[in-house]
Amino acid sequence: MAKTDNSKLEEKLIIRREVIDKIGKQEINVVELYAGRSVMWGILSDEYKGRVKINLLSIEKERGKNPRALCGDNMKFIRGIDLNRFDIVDVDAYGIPSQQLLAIKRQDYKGWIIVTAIQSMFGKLPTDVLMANGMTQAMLQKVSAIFTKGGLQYIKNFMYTLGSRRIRGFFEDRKYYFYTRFEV
Amino acid sequence: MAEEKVLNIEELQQDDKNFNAGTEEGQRMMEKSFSELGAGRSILIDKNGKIIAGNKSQQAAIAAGIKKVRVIETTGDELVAVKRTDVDLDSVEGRKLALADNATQVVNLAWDEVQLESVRDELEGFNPSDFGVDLPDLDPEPKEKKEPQTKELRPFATNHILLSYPIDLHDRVMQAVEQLRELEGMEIETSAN
Repeated sequence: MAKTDNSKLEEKLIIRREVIDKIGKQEINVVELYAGRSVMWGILSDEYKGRVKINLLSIEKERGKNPRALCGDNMKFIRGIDLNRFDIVDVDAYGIPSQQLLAIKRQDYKGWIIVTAIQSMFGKLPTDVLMANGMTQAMLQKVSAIFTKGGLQYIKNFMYTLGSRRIRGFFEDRKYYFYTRFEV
Repeated sequence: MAEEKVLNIEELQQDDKNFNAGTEEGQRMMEKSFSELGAGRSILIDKNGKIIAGNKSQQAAIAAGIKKVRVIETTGDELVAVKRTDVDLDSVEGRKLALADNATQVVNLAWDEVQLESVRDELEGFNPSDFGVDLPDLDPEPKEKKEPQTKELRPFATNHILLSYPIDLHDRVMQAVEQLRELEGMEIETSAN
């Protein structure tokens, strides 16, 4: 059976609930960089109604997909928004959002980051991630296609270089759903 | 004989309930394919000019600078073949087109479960599982408790060496590589140009 793109909805909701509970506030601010139709945060807002007020700022690249979202390139919005106003930055990407994570780090963001990172069909990892793992430009130019194995270790090392010291979530073959914060 | 006309590509309307949300990578691949190889497979529209299949193709084609669409009218009793008179399958371009056609479909497919579910609820007799598409359960209560794992991150200490050598040395180098492979934690990938 083919699975829908949100077939890991349950796992994604579990880690978001954990983060909401960890924050422990009655009102939280969330920015989602890949909003889609805000399915997850819609479910969570209903679920936490009366206990936690969730203020959501949604960003979606595709016009017309989510009428409540800001439409455009999330990198531009990240540069223009003070992320530290938000308790959670939700980076539910289809791919590996290394540029977004670097931009979040550049703001010295102190809150929680929830990440979906999925290696593509060909498994190639972003240059940022490989260089954070010690590869050089010269190596990548010659053999970029072969750095496709052990993706989770590369992602873990990349997160470490950004200042994360632990990640918690679900880790499957080439699909990683986790949350963390930059501690350093 | 099928009716034929040429329209501005932007006259075709997107499906506001498109079941495929698409992916950024898939869209990039489609735009690259259109830019480098031109248009290949046709898209499908309904009698009102609304796109049944190929919403993402229309977007990628527009992004690649394609302005017109040739519309062939049929009632489903014949297959419409697009003939590329400038392409031989057994050429680099032909094989690239064949690869791009299949690869973009795989990479650009991301089912939009909200649209699938909403159309299933609206239209009696429409069930995505008839075509093997299994909708997730949007019930927020998990049926079985799944437990996330915590992974402690540590500084990594890995050194990388890229070896390039003349092919004449291959046997000697591979002997040395095979010895290195026995060391725990060693990762070796080989490749040739």
